This record gives sequence, structure tokens and C-alpha cells, in this order.
Amino acid sequence: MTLLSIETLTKRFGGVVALDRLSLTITAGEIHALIGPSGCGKSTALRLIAGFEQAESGAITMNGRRIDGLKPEARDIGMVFQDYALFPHLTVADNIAFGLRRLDKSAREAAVRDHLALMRLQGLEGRRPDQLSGGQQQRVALARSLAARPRLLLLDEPFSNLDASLRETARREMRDVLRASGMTALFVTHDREEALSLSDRVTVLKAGRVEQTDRPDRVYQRPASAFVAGFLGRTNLLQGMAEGGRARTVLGPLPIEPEAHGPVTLSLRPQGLALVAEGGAEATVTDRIYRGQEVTYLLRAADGTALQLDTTDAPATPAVAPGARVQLEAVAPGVVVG
Amino acid sequence: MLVPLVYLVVRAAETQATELAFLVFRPATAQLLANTLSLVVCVLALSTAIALPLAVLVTRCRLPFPWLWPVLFTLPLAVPGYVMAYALIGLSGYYGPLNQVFGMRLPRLEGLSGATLALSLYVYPYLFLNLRTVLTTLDPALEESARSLGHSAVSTFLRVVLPQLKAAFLSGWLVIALYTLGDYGAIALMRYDVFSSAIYSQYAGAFEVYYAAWLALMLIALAGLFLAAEARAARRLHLARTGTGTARVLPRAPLGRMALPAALFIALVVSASLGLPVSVILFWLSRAPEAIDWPAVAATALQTVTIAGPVALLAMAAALPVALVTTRFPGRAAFLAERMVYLGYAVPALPFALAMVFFSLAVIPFFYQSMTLLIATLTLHFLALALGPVRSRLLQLGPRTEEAARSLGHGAFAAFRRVTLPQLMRALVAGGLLVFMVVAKELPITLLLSPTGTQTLAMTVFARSSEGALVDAAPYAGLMILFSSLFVGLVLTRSGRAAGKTS
Repeated sequence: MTLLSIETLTKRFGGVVALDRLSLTITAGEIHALIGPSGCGKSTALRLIAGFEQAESGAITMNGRRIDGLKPEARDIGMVFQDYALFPHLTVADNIAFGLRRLDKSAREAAVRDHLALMRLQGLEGRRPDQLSGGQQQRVALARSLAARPRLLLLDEPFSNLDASLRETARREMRDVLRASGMTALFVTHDREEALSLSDRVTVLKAGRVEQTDRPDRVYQRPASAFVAGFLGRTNLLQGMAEGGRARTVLGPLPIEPEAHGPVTLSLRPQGLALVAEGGAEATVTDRIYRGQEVTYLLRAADGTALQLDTTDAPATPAVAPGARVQLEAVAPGVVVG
Repeated sequence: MLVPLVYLVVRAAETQATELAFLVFRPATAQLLANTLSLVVCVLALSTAIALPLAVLVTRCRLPFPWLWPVLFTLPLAVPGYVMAYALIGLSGYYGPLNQVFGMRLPRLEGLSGATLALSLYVYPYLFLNLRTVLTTLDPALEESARSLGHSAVSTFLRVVLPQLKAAFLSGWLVIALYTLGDYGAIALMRYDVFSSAIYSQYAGAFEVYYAAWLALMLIALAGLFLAAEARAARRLHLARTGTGTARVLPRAPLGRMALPAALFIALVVSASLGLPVSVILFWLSRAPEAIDWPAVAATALQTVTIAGPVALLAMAAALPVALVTTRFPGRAAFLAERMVYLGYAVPALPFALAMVFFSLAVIPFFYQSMTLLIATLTLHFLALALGPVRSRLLQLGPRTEEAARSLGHGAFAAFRRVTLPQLMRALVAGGLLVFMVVAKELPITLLLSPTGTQTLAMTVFARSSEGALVDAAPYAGLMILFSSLFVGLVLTRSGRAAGKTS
């Protein structure tokens, strides 16, 4: 069931177009990631939904009701800010209680207690925000927004201010809490690993427009454009001539999806290429990057196309030195991206 | 700095015990205390009522000509309190513009209400500037968070913004309270009896010098009490910004239905604090019965410059070593030196001048009522103003560039002269200009310590106004405003440029 739908939203700052007829739907209960390079309009989209900015045209509807004319406080939409925006003059408990003024005293205290427990903040209720670590501040911000029980929670780069060592745990914890409370969440990030690992659906934004919305595995495996393919991970872009389910490329005939005809651009992840002893396409090794668990070879195909290939660093696979001539084979289908 | 203050205590201690009970701790003294405190409370209340709405309008609302308003709301600083009082008094009366132009007779403004009005219209910019700075640098995400947690704009202001303004309120109120304690001109013109006017009349009338000493000590104690109360309250605030994100600027809200009341409020404040003094001065200038004695005005202006100039130069020369010692070699001695400088500024002007009188009479009678003593006293009193900018600039610069010069083969002195000093010049000059302007407007110390026959602009305006010779005071008051507004303009553009640089 659709909770929030955005239709052809346009927003300019001065002469610069931040959002260009953006359309998006958020399903009730899902965790939805909005990802794109900086300046793509993802934070602007969040601020329009929250009501801090007004769009020039387009509509925002929640549960079938137009909300884009409402003030932020009337929208029933919570927001966790990038720098958390905890109120420095209030204690942790008062911060969490801030959105609960419609409840009576005992209900409010109970809600604060529940959310302190939920976010593992017991014992910190009397502290001020400046007496908390970064991770604790982030959990207070989340508790404060969840306690107000909004129908939709927006999160603006919620993990960007955390140390890399904390990020992994914080992500899992946030996902579990959101799932347990059945909260619908839309979060903005520029970190592809975060978007892919945390969300039910991912929307990739470029220059104020949606490039693709789909499940994380689908946007990674079946990118709709060369931009999406390259933004979500390293990839090889090959030119080819498609004839239905196959295409002729520099690597020889290659299975492709979906079916196509005529000249195409194909995306093939580095894991989709393998070194073979014989019968493959010829290539020259230009460099070898050792990454620990895996090794990346940078190669040049016969027609000069630059390629990369990932292989596991097993004792059985002998290292190949730069300059060596090798043979390649595709072990995954090429995805038509253009 | 401390020695003169000791002489104040010495003089006070000479009082006989019986006289002490009879003359010092009498109901009249209690009345002075009550008057002084009620004036402070009234000035704080009125200047807050002016400054807070203005600061919110300037930082949160969409106004036409946004660059203009901060300037207009800061310019009243250029109108000294006694000129403001002169304007308020000059407005009424039989020959005043209200009666001559509009046929309205108002009673002459005086007492608590008159003094409150004259001081508030002049000092509110101190609070306005403080509040504006915090309101513009406050993380907008705080207000947005409160809104998305279901609070209205008004509730957000009361529960989130106002608490963040506490520190700005405290420091602004402290400056205004200390100023009110120290002011002599405006309050005396309004014929309101407070500590400072009592000290002056006791001293000038040479009635009971030890009573003046006692009053001065009480006034100093009161100022110390305010300082301690502010420091205590400020310590309990928790306002550290926790986020690390870059600050955005909050989008300004259109005024909507509030446009008319806001415009009326702004018009009222600007016309009272700027329009009034300028138009009253112009009115009286136009009523001058005979040609204005311009050579006399010029001589007075020159006399003002010959006092303010040396004080500014001396303050700059003294500020540099104090700032260097306190920032580069922080320790107990440096800390004490710095505290002394600020103490000299915090002691209200009249008690400070009185202490210098007692000190000079006892130790260096040769210098009593000399230009040297006047200039030394003014320098000691206003040194803190020159120290502030130099100190913060030195802290900002840090020792790195100088260390780089040392490693490139320059000696300690050469490195300082070639690397740090050029970067310090602007701050040094800014501090000097500030001192110059403040000394040029200064009244009570000059009144008490200047050699017989000295006539500065401030003294002339004050003397003529208190005699009711409003026509005679007009050219001096006009020159005073013109002169001060040049300096305020200079300070404003400098701070504007500095702000532009950091953003």
C-alpha cells in the first residue's frame, strides 16, 4: 500500500534546478533509500517532504491526502538530521519527550522510558547532548523521532557523522529498530553500501531526476543506465551488437539481458569476468591491485577497451604480472544499459 | 590599577564611626540604591522589549532592503546618552518643536521614565547585536527538528530558540547594566538621583568627600555583584553545539499578517532612536538667534581630538604587550594582568575617576587636574576595548607562522615584526579607533579630572543642556553625532567584512 507519493515535484534555487519533475512512491512499512552523488537533489527532496521548503510545482500526497500545503508540524513526518540537531539545553530524557506534549505526564514518562530502553540509552537520561558520544547522540536523535510516532520517518545521511568502526553496528541496529516498530522510513545517503545493505528499495537520483527505483539486488544486478551501473559499484562498460539474447562484443559472443537488437552498451561487473587457460578473448594485463581477499586485474582488450576483473586470492591461482597476455571469459550475462 | 582603588578605601576608612552611621547609612543612601536598581531594571526591560523583536525580524523574516536594518538598529550607539536626553528634553517645552510646530505642550521628560527612555534608546543595540549574532549562527536543524516533532512556530521559538539565547541575553544585559550604573550625563539631565549623580554632586560641591568615597565603593560593589551574578548564571548554561555539520542559513519567513505591526514597530524605534535626536538638533539649529560661533565649535572639536588621540595611541601601545603576554605565556601573572585590564573597564567611570583624584592628591599632587592624569586615567579605563580585538586576532593567528619564520632563520623579534605584526595591524587599529570614539564621547571622567578651562564636545553639550540653553548645545550635539556615526559606520563595515571573510 502506498503511504507517500510524490508527483512531478520541481524545485529551483535561484536559477539552479534542484529537482526536475521528481516522482516517487513510498510503500507503507518499507525502508527506502535515496542515493545519488552530491548535488543530485536528494536532501532537497527530503526537506520538501518534511515541509521546510516549498516546491514550485508538483504534489506530495500521504494516504491519499495532499500535504504539500501543510506546515511541518502538521504533517506527521519525523526527521533525523545529519548532525542530529539535539537540543543542547535539554537532557536526553527531555529531548525524547519533546515531541510528546499531547500525552499526559504518565504516558509521556512511559514513552520516554520505552524509547530509552529501545535505543539502549538507560542511565543516560539525565545527561546533556554535549556529554554523549557520537553514537549515543545518534541513538537519542532516533529515539526522539520514533517516540513522536510519525507516520513516516526521514533520515538525512544518518551515519555520516559516525566513525567507520561504529557505522556497521549502528546500521544494523537502526534497521532492527525500524523493522520492530513497523516504521516507514526514507533515508538519504551517498554511500552505496549503506543504501544496498539497509533498504527494501533503492531510488537512484541524478541531477534532480529518478534514474531507477528497485530492490537493492535488482538495481545492482540489473542497472537501468550506465550511470546507475557505475554509481553502485565498479563495472565494465562494453560496446556490442545485440541480436536478441546475445551480443557480439570484444570478448566474443555474450549472453545479454534483457533481449535487444542493434548497437548496445553492456554493463559487466568485475566479478563477471574470469581468467581462463584457453579459448577466451585475448587481453593484456596493465596492472594488478592486491586487496587482501581478492585481486583486481586491470586489462586492455584487443580493441583497446579498458577492463577490470576481480578474482579471489587463493594459493592455487598464480599471480599474473603486468605485461602478461591472458585469456578472458564472461561468466555472467551482460546487462543492457543503453 | 589597584593602587588608586586602594586610596578610595583609605579615604572611606577615614570616616568617624558616628559620622558613618549618621551620614552614610541614612535613608537617603537607601533611596539612591533603590533608584539605581529600579533604573537598571527599567532600562533592561525596555531595551529587551526593543532589541528582541528587532533581532527576530532581522534574522527570521523577509524584509525589503535586508542590509539596511542591522545598520539602522546599530547606529543609535553613535548618539551618546546625554545627546539622547538632550533630544528628549528639547522636544518638549514652550520653545520646543512640539509646541512650535504642532502646538502640543508636554511636560518636560524627567525622572525615572525620562532616564529609562534616554538610556534604552541608546544602549539597546548592544543587546540587539548579541541576539542577532546568535540567531544567525544557530543551527537551523534545531528549529526544523522542533517543527517536525509537532511544535508550532511560536512554541518552537519559546521552547528551543529562546533557551539558546540565554547567553546572549546575559552578556548583553551585563553590558547594559554596567553602562547604566556608570552613566552620568543622561541621568543627570533627566534630574534623577542615582549613585553616580550623588557621587558627582558630593565631590563637585566639595561637601563630604568621604561620603563620595563611600558611595563610590557601594557603586563598585554593585557592579561587582552584577559581574558575579552574570558569571554564575553563564556557568550553568549548556549551549555547546553538538553537531559537526556545516551551518546552513534558515530560510526567512514572509511576514504575512504581521507586516503592518512590524513596519509600525520598526518605524517607531528608528524615529525615536535616530530620527528624534537628528530632527531635534536640526530644529534648534534652525532656531539659532544669531550666527553660530563656528570657531568656538572648531576649537572644542580640536580639544576633544587632542585628548582622544593620545589616549587611543597609548591604549594601542599598551594593548600589544598585554595581549602578547597573555596569549603566548599564559600563567598566573599574565592572567592577573588581563583581569586588571578588564577590572579597570568594569569599575564605573565616576568611582574610577574619584579613585584617581584621591590617589593623585595623596601621591602625586603635582599631577592633580593635569592633562597627563586625565589621559592616563582614560587609557587605564578604556584599555580593555583596545585589548579585545588584538587578543582575539592573536589567538586566531596562533604561533605557527611565526615558528615557520624562525625555522627560516629569523630571530624571535624579526619573526614577530615581519610575520605577526603585519597581520595584527588591522585589529590593533580597530581597537584604537574604538577607544578614540568612546573617549571622544566620554563625559564623567573628563568632567572630574580635566584641567580647569578644558572644553570638550561632550562637556559643552552637557553643560549647555543642563542650563536649558538648547540652542547653544545644538551645533555641538550635531557634530558629536556626525562624528560618532562615522566611527560606528567604520566598525560596522569592518565587522561586516570580517563576517564575509569567515563565511
